[in-house]
Amino acid sequence: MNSSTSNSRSFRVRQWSWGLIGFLVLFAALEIAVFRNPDLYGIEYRSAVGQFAELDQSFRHADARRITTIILGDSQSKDALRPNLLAEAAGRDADSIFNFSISGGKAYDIYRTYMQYADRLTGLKEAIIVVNEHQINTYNVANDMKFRYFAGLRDRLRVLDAENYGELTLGWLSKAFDLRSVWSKMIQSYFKNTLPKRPVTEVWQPGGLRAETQNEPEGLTAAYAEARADGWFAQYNLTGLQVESLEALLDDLHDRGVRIVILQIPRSDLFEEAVIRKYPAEQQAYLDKIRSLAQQYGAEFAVMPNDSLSLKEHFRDANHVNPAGAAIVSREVARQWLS
Amino acid sequence: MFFYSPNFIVFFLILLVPYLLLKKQRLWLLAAANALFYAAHPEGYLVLFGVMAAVTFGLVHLMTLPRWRWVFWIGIVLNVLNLAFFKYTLFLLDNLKLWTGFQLAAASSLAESIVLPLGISFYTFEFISYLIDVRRGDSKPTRSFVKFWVFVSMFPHLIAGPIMRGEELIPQLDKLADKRITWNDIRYGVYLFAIGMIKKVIIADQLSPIVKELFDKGSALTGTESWMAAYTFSFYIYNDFSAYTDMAIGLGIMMGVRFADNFKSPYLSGSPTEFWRRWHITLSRWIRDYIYIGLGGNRKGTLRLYFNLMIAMLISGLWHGAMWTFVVWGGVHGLLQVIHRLSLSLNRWRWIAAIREHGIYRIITIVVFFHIVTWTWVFFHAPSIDMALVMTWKMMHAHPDNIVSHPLFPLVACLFAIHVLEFLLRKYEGQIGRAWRRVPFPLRSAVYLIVTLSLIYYLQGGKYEFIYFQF
Repeated sequence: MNSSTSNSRSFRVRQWSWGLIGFLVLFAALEIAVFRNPDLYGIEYRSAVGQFAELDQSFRHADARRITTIILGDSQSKDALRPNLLAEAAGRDADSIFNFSISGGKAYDIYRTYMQYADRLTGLKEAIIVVNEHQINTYNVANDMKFRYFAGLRDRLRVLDAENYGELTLGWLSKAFDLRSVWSKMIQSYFKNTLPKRPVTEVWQPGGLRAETQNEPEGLTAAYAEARADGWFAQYNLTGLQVESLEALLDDLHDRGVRIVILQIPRSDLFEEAVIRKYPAEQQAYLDKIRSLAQQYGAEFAVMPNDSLSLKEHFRDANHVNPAGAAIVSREVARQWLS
Repeated sequence: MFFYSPNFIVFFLILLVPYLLLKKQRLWLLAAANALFYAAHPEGYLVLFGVMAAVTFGLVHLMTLPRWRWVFWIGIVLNVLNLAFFKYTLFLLDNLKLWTGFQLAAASSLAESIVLPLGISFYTFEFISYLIDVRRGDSKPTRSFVKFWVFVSMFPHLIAGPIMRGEELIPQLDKLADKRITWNDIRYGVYLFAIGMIKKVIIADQLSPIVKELFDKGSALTGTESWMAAYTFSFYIYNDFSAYTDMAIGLGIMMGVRFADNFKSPYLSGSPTEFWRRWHITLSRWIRDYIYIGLGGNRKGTLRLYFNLMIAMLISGLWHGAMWTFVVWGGVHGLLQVIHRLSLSLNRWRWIAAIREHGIYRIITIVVFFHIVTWTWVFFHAPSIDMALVMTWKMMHAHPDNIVSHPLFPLVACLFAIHVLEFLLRKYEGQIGRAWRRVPFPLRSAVYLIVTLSLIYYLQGGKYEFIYFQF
């Protein structure tokens, strides 16, 4: 093969074109059928992106018209606000409550998750949005696989900078490229035989994602709490995509006439102390922001105290409750905010 | 912005479209793109580079005037000093302190915080070669600064070579506005770029942690492990560096410019002389043409020839970095060249010359010389000469059975086989290309798809770098 030789150019172009066209067709087919298909990522439903497949399974089995209350948030509310416990405490049917909380969820992911199902929630009356400082920190959003999973060109352009423009542009063109760290880990897990043994169709539970119940190693130590706080407040930035996403979520719910309750659910004293000690200004800015948004959209905002919870009995790590803690928090939320 | 980073790929695609469409503006597009590419790197000191280019360009023109030939030396001294300041100041200060105990600069002074500007070793050599070529009359100075800027800064070869000469690149730039870039050029460029990507992402980057783990063991390495460290580093550095060159040449072809080859399967060399004709070819010829021949080459007697060889190789070693390990590495290669030259005198016995012509002898020399080169890489990569000597000592005492039965040996054998395959692929590129076009297109498409997905799989991001960027 030599660039300077071209004895029959049209013949060569024709030859090359078929190989190229075939490649493009195959690649596009793979994009549509595989890399843009949530079921692929559902094979590893414990991953950041795979969890959406499990959530979808759960929603597919729910009667969407009967859902009147939704919970939106991250892993804190996924663990703490269990639909069955809330329903029992509120004297309601369990299928009237659906928890859309996702692990590692940030405001953008939460909003996009909600929007995916919003049209089908025809009977929606109230929404409990569980917030925390981490969710609205815009820092490093472009490297979040959940952002990549959802983001179209417009959202990508909003976070585009000199460092990430290549990743975000090529990622928009190809999900195979965009989510390569997700599917390549799945392949590695396959060869290590560490993929989940049971498929997502067997493990899903009604009312949203399953709660994590096992204790985090070292999760109940001050060092862990501090490390989590450091992660949450890294280059804390309350402008841009995340806050705007929370605002968009509130706007949509408000326009639908849904009653909105914004909650910060209990975290352990270890965690609260770490935040107060290291990031008091950032926390105050967060609280001010949420209060002003709540006021703007006619929502109730409350910071739940952790008085009734003890570190060892009710937490599985510094900021996630265990099943015993979930029973208390769910009961309290049902008593105070579920009609 | 490294060639295989997503940022570069987008940058290049954005550049390529107007570049192909606006033929008359190609030079200006390149001039701007080169500056942007260089400035995008944290160590890309564009102002310094631009000033050195402007000064060299000005001096070149000045020295063509009657009675101004002497400014050539100003150009040489300025460029050497610029390189020496950024590359060797710390080295000199450290050695001064080590040998005399005298600390010339405070620990926190400017001298202690010098950062090596990206590509300085490469562009300085290009400036110097241009000055010399014009002085010798080998190259006609271009009147256009834009053309000169594009010659020295053209992004595919800017930061890790190939080290180009004015006479090679400037005539191509003269014709750039009329150059017809065919689909065939794009295809061949993509092919070379893909080969480079495969070598970098699938081979070099996967070898990198293995090399690191082995070298990190330091003096705890056994003899067999030392060989494995040297073997894996041999293939790591080759695949890393030659990948860059393949991508650079591929990019150049897509832009209608042909860069010089830099590698020709160097581990299939049967002698040190042959090795330097196959390894980092553009540096070797630079050293040969401007240092070795400049010192008199082989024209001033045998002893002077050996001396010149040693000096040339020591400078080649020092060019790679301000560390004694590089100097020793260059010195060892110089010594190998001298020994090889000496051994050539044995050819006066016909039976020895006849043996040397035999195919089996050729294979034996390749195997032996591959191991010698592999050993020399220990000096190149070890953190200190002491460490390299410890490894050398242990390598001398390693048992061949242990080497062959080491878990990494099949990988090493496989890498060597890939090296041979690459040689065959390049040698029979034309025939293979024609045969490939006869393969049914669905199969070709499937292969393209597998290659693309494999590259995406391995392209995990976070770290995009080439080893030769540090030189």
